[in-house]
Amino acid sequence: MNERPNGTKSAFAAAASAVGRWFAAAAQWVGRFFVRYWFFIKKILIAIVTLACSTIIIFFILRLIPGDVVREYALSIAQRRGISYDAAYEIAVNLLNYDPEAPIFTQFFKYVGGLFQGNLGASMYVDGVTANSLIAQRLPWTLLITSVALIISFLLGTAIGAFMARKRRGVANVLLNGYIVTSGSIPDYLLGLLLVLLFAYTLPIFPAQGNYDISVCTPGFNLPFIGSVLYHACLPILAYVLSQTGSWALMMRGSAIGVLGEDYINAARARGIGNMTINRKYLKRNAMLPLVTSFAVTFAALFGGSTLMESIFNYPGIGLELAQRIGQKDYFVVQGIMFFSSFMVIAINLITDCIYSLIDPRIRETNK
Amino acid sequence: MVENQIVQPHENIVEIEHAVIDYPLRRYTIRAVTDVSLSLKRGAITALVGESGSGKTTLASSLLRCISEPGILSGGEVRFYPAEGAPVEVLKLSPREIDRFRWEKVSMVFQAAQSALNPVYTVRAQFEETVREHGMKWSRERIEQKMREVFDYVKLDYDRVARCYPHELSGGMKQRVMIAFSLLLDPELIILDEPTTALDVITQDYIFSILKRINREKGISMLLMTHDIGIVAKFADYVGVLYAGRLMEFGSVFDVFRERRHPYTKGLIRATPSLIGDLEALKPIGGSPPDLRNLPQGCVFSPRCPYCTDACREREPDTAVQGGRCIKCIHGFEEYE
Amino acid sequence: MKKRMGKIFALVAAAACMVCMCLGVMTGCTQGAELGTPGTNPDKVFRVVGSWEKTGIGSHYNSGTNIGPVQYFAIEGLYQYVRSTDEIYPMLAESMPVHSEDGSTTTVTIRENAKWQNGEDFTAKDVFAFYYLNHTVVTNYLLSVEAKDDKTVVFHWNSNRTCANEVKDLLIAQDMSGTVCYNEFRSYVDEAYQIVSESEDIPADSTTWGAFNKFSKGELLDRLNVVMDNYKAHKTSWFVATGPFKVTKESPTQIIMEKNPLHWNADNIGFEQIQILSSSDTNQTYNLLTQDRIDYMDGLAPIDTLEAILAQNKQMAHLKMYDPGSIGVLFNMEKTDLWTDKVREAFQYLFNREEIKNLANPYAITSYFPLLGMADSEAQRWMTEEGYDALPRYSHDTAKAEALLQEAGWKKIDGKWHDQGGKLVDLTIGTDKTHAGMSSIAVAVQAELQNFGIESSVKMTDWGAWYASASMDNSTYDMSVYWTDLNMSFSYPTGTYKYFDSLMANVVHVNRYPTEYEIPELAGAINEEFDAQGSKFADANGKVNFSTYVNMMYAYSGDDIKELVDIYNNGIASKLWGIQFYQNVTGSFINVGRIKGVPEEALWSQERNVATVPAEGTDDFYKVACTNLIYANGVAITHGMYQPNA
Repeated sequence: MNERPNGTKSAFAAAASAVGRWFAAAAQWVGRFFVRYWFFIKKILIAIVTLACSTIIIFFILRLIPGDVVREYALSIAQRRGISYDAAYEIAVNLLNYDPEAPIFTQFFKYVGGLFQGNLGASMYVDGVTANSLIAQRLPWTLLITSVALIISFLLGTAIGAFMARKRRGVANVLLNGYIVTSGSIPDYLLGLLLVLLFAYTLPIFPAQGNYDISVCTPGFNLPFIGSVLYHACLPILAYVLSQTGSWALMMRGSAIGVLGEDYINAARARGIGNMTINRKYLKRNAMLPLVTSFAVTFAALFGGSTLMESIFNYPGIGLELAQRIGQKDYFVVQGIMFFSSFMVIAINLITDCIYSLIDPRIRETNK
Repeated sequence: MVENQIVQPHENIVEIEHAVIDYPLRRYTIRAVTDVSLSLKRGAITALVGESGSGKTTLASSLLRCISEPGILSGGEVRFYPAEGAPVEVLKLSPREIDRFRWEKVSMVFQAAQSALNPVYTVRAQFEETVREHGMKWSRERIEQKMREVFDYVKLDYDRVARCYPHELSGGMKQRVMIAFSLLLDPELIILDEPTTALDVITQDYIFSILKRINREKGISMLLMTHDIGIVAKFADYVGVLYAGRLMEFGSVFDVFRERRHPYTKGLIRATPSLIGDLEALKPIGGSPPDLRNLPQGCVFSPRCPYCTDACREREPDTAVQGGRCIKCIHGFEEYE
Repeated sequence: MKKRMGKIFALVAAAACMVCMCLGVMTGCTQGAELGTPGTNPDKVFRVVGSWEKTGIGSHYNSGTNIGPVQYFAIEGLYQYVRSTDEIYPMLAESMPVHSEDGSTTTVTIRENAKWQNGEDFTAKDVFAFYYLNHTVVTNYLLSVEAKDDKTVVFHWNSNRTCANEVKDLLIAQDMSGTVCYNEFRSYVDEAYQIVSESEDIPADSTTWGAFNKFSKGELLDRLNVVMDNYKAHKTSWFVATGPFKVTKESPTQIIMEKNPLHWNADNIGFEQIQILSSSDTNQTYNLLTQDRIDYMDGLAPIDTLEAILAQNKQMAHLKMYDPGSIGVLFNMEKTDLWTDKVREAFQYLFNREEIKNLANPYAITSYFPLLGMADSEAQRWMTEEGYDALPRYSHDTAKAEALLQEAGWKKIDGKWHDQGGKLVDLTIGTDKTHAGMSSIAVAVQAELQNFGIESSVKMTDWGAWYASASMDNSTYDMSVYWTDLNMSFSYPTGTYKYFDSLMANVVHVNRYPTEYEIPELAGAINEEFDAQGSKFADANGKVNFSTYVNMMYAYSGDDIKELVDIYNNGIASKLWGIQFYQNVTGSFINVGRIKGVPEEALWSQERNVATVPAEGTDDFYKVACTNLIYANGVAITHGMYQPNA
């Protein structure tokens, strides 16, 4: 008769204890998760802190640039339209999406708020132009040139470096050494200028500027367009490859010479392993490990664009765009692009850190 | 009547004659090995004893023609007598043939196993690589079976070790892996270059018992380099004594240790600390190791030899040979004490 | 499994490479425009260089994007005025404006065949639409703009804000009134007209300026701002313009424009295509000129570069024309101890202006005036002869300079000048380093001061930084090298004075009324007085204050305006606020091989680097100004002056 209250109580107790056990298990799992992956979590936290610091620094440094946006814009309008400065000033005030009177901290919090929503910043001058749209339009062009050049120079450079490490003497070695020293001393934009002079003006083989020529093709997935793009990409890529291969070769040579002195090379030779296999799996594989970090860091740096080269070739990449926007003092867009750039650098460094342990088994700190 | 013409394999497995190995450096050339002639008996364990820099490793690497750069073999002959087939002039093999020769006929266990394996591949991957590089079309199961077999010999747990990376193994385990590795393609001769120098005495004993077992059960000849007289006494059948790149004495262990003809051999054996006895009563060999760039005229051991005569200092003594025994001393096989 | 990490890495790298290439291609796809006409005759292509908003030139002129050279060939107004000559060409209008006798209205008749680029007729309603959405300067003088019928526009002038007929013409001419298509922007135009009508009138005695004599405030002003923003942001399906060329292809580095067959002067326009290239710096532009990739560029180049370009590209010629501006030195009048009257006068004699001019711009015209208020050519045009002759001129006379300095109390000790307090004089000179002429002047000034015995140092920064430092209170600059007199709009005074007021006066730190002055319209205005004895403009003390007439000059014409300008120029000159080194001369590079109809043929057929600057008022003066596309927009092509040499 009185079992029902007891029954309820025991059911309740059972339920409560089940929930409690679930909580305990969850807490245990979370704790174990943190302990086990503390290595990665620590890296991610550091990356986030770095990103936050860079955001703050970017914002405040931009504001320190002297000069009045409205006044400069007004002057350019006056000159363009042939009207008086005062009339131009009024037009400038109306056109600019920028309130110079707003207190600086309000601007900062608006900026950070926008970041969390994925809105990197809008241009003060043109409606509809945001940092997101600029990055989407320009970054692929920069990456097209720089990543292709990076990969080519990396592969070429490591091959040359391994070759130089194996054959320490000989004519080829002397010539390659000379090339490495020369290409390392000449700044890359100078090389770009020389190439433009030689191959675009003196011998008109390649186009001097631009990324494609709209008078001969229409953008779209068609052959003339792709041909034009590749044709215009040749000189910039060549300039980059010529200037960067040397440093990869030098790094690889140093690393490879170290590896060649290791016992396992000789041991492998004693086992009758062929020269080609030794080059590939023993020499290159081990010598390249330190270079992978360099490669990742360089790849991350590509996202900032390279302003000088893009300026020389008038190649509309993110670097040139950023430089022009800075000149126009288009604060918000510049902030957004620089934030994106630093984000990519930090993210890629983080990924490299984590991947490195996969590539080099000696660096694994977590258990298998 | 069918004649079972079993052609007996040559009693020696390797014959080295008048080997000369030089290291041409930029300003001078070091002669690491001078006029060494010796033979390794098939199925026996031959040991080569000497101080560091006496040329042991150099001589052994010449058998595989992988002397570390920039050493070259300037003279002499190295002949290998396989169990079947014609004798092989090791120095005249083409690059392709030498690649087949290495590991299939002669394999080597290196001194410091710490870095003898490629650090970025697993143990099994490296075993498989060797098999494939020799053009052997073994299936994965066959490779695994062979690996289990050789691991079993060195008392390693295949399931645990095979998928490890080299840095995950201890020193002793790595050395055993290298020994197992050397057995992979069933060679006829294994060269062991100070295989236990970096290990403790107990592991050392363990490994040598393994080696002894391999030698007895499989009949594989061994060439052992060491500077530990005790090991020689315990495990080797024949011993050669090297000093400054010259073969001072060679013979069976019993003969050499009992007779102790050469003054250097005498000094070595006397210098071995005894398990019982006074540590302070150690009798090292006087003088300092030879400088290969600046060798004395005459017998190279003369500065340190307590039995040195004027004739010793004038010219280098010839090697006196008696059966399988040889001595490079002016006294030869005579008593001189 | 893990040994494939290396392979995976290589695959990832290769994949990234392919992805980047595809992205590049696809990005190009999404930025594409419609097909242009193939098979254009290359001789009928006119190629220029310029810079424009690379993300897209937008859909109409007032959307805020910089459309660059597209403006020259696609944008028109009722008229086009040529900067520096004030010549007016009728564009969408048929003939010059007709002013009523009493000056209360002006009638403009639009061409019968004026059409928008999408085929619709261009009507007076479009002009109406333009003015109610763009409250340009002329609207300050208007009561309303009326679209009387399809092709007649009537401007109703505000009797409280009079201006001379010539000014009316110029004010109408400087507007790009062919940029607001009523049918396209109907809702915004009607709303804006509604708001303006509802706003309160400006009373007759008030001195406030307002478009259409209306003052919008409060809720009406907010609504107006919203309408303006929406108008700005409106996206059309076609680029709203009337000009002879249409944009057909656009990329961040190139624009191609094809001829608009509907244009009112299509029969007279010989060119079929305009190609606009871009360049990321001046050297690239010079390369484009040298390599015959462009047919025109405005401006000068350093003399060696100029000669080299003309030597390598044998079809290129360079004509010169006046720039309505002068470059020189501005004194920082805040430093009253330093810049006493005698010292400023001494500095006028100190410099060898001819040499400095040759260093900075050898083609310029040396000036021996102090800061005048307008450039020399302008002064000749707008002053009476007596007034012009009365202007002070200073020769290069270091002895006189020394004497004046000594009178001021300066002493030369050990070859270095010390001021009247005995302190060593060390001047800080500021300038804009991006302007090649100004930076060379600053260096030359320092050198001459050094020779004379005055210590100085030059601080070069970019324009924004220089202006911020120079115009602030307690500026560190003692003097700056910059434009002394400049005008961006038409020549009729008061352009240069207003420009001076807005920009250079802050660098000079002239006296101003305080910002909370009892008379609100004078708050912050310049408070400087000029001698005007005997003039009808003088006040009770025989003086004229700068701010009294500076906003009123449009009302005067004929002799009155000359009298006023005499007073102002002589007054400003007497203040010795600065030194005018030279009147700037600019130029245009033109490919005379490919273009027929380039003026001064007699000169450039002899020597392609034409050194003479056509004198004020001559035939060539007007024609050569038209060759400069910044001054004249695309008039040379639109009016058929240029024809392809095919």
